[in-house]
Amino acid sequence: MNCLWCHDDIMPDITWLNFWNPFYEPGKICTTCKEGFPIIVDHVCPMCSRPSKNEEVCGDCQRWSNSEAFQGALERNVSVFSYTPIMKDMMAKWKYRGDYELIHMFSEDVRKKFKEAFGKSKATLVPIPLSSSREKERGFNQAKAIAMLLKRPIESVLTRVQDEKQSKKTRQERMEAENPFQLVKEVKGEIILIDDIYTTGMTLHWAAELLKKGGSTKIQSFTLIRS
Amino acid sequence: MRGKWHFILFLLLISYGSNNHWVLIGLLFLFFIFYHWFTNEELGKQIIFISIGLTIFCFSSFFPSELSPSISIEKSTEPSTYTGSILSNPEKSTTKMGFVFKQNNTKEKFYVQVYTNQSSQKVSNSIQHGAFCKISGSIRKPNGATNPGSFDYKQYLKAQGIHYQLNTDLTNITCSGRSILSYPYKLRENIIIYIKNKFDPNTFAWIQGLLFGNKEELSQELILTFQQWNLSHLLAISGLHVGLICGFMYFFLLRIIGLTTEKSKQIIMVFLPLYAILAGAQPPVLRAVFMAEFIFLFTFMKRKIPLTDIISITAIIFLTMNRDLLGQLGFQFSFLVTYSLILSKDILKKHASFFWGSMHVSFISQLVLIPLQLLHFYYISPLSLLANLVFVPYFCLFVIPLTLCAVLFSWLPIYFIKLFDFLLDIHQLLVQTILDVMEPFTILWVIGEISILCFIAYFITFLGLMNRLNKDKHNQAFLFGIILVLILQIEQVKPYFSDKGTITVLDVGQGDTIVIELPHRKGIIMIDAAEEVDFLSNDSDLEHIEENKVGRYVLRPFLWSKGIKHIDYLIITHPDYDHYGSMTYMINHFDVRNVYVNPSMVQLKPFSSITKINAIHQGMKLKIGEYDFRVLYPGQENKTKKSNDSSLVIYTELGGNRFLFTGDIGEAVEKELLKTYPNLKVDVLKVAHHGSKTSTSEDFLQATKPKHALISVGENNMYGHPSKDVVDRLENMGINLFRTDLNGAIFYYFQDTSGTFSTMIP
Repeated sequence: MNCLWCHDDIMPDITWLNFWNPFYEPGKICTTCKEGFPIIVDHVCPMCSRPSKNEEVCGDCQRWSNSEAFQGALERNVSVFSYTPIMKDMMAKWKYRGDYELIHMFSEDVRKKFKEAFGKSKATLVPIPLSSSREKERGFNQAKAIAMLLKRPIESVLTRVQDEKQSKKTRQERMEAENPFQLVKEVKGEIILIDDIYTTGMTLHWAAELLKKGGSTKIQSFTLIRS
Repeated sequence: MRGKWHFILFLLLISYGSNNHWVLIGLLFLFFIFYHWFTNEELGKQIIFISIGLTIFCFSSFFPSELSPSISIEKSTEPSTYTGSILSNPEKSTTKMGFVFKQNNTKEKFYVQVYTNQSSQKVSNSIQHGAFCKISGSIRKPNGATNPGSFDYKQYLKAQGIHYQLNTDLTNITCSGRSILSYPYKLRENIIIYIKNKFDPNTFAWIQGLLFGNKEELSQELILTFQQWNLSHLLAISGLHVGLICGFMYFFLLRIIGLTTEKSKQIIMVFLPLYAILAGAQPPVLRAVFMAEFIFLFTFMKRKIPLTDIISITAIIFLTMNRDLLGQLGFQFSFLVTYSLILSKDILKKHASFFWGSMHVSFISQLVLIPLQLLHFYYISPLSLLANLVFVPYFCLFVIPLTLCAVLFSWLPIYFIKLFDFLLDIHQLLVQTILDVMEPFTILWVIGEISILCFIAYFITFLGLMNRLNKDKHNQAFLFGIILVLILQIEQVKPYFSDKGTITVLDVGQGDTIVIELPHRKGIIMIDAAEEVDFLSNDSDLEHIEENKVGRYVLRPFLWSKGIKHIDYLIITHPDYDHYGSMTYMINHFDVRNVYVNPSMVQLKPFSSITKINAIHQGMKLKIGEYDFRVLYPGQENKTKKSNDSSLVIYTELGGNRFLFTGDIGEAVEKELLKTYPNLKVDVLKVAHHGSKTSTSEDFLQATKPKHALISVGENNMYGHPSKDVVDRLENMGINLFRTDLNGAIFYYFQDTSGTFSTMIP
């Protein structure tokens, strides 16, 4: 087996945790590469997973809770990895150049983190959609790809109308834009939104606001990366 | 197959355990089916793998799994001539040499001991590894242990596949030829002789111990202290030494000579096997060298392979070549420690600092070895972790490099040699001082022989502990640690909850030592503590006679194997050395709470200085719980001049049988006893005075009517004990006779009102 990132041979990593298990298989990524994708461990803002020394709610999140429109929409965001240059390369390769397999590098860590954060919750997974044209261009929806790793029921209840790349905009532009989503079907009960990256949080808050109006009680989000 | 080899090893161990190679083949087959199913790895590779595996097993010594000897003899045979070849490198000392010899037609292995008194250099030189020899002599079965807990030479040889001993001398042996391996062995011998002539005895002892894996020149005391602090691994060449040697060589070749990394590694690869033989080729050093060679080989092939596979493959090769290794202490310790350190790599990586790193290495190795340590030595020393923290870096960074330099620069002029001698004198002084300072802090937690249940429970909990440690869950790991201690604690206090008691008549040679353990550990009573008197031994090497032989090799191992560290009552019947010789040893090494002697002894020399001493006499009764020990003799004022006739006579009832312990009393005292106690009836009689004809009179036997008789007597003793008259007398009366010279230790197990006898040698 070779590393999905550097294509080097991966050596099975036998420790006290797995030596007894004859069916143990090494991960899809080698230990050296793995170090380039740092997992967010602790000392984060409890609301958005941004690194924060004293674990207080960060300024951004305070602003979200103070804003009239989005107050109480998104309860909490949990992210798995922090955003490093290598991660940026990975996103480029995965999202824009369509190397779908790369997501499997993270499957184990994603599952582990999800279980830690939402293990007991019975919430429905709602991936953030792409516009149909964009999805056609890329061949897959990255949010759905992540959601599919979690092996839980997925409800695609949102669609995207307007279609400008978020990543090409400044914070200001993002904040001023209009809500690009529409609700196809109302979902009662708990929801976990899934996306690839949480940058300003705008996208997720838009989606959350819409779902809240649609009658969902508790909305949280889970993203691969927190930048 | 990478990362799975330890399962193959596991299957191999199971099939060795079940002693059936079909089990192995079946299990291997199942394993591969499952493996293929779950991984979908190409089947082609596995077919190759299976065929290689089967070939190895077919050609290994494993298949004709002979466990029982092919010839059977009673005790020894008439002398005859055997032809065969020498399988091991002969171990030579000044007066004798020993080697493993494989007889040609029966394929039976003997351990041959050759006395080399009449020096014939030519013959002695022809005895080499692989030589073909004709040896005349009589073969005999090696001696088994005659006491619980003692070293079992028979078992020790059996673990090497040897069932017989052959003793002979140089006139009865002719050898010719040699194997390739004999050349490096000869080189080793010559280097050792060369070094012995160059350096001081002290320097030589350390060089031989640390580089050549032979610690016989180091003082017995030091070796014992090292053992108590779990430091013995420093004196047995292992991965540590091989790693260091590799490191030095690599540094030297790369930095000083300026070779490429590739070249340096190749040179080390060629040198290591030679080093393994120079270092004595014991299992730990062979393991380390094999593993190092594998690692180098795989780096040259640019293949990555986990260390677990490397060590598993090494173990599989070792065990298929020689399954007897499995029973050897060095093999078990070495592989177990290495495995657990390899599996701990995540844990060790997290603690990269020198201090915490070595702390963890020590901690993990000691923890995994505790069950084995208990099986072999019955104690653990909790503070040995600290000793290792001090000594391991000191030996790695100073002493081993120093001894290595001493050997490498031994061609330098005499003042350099003197410098090395000086440095190693300082080292000796330093080690001695540190050990002396640590001495008062020696804590030995004596647990005794552990049960298989405890063994399993310990290892399961240990796996849990390591798992939590690996997951960084320190609180849970700590909890598991507490459970580990509890498991050992429960094992230790088990006798306190048992309603079974034991009387053990130990085989102490010509002397008496009887240990009574009352149920629920209500009391531990020791009647007499013998020491062997062998003033007539005509052995030429008198300096080899050790003090406290019985104490060290019989009493301590026996008591420790039962988890006993204290004696409630030590009763010395009379002041003869074969009854009190080990008393001082007992007082120094055990918590002896009371010493009882007969009235005439309190003023005598070694006894008068003991503080907790008391005289007991006729009419007194020692009451422990519901158990009574009555003193029947001697009276308070004893007129006899004979030491034997002043012996304390103790009467007690245990497990429904009446016991009489008679010391060394003679016929006169027996008469007196019958006069004082006309109704004295006895079920079990400890025959007085080792079965001498001056005791155990017909009248006494008629009157007391014993059913069983116990004689504590040395094999082939110079007094001719037990006397034929006494033995005949006992047998004629239909008394069941037990003798320590024939039966080894004698046990009486009792519970409530029933008791049964058994013996060490059936």
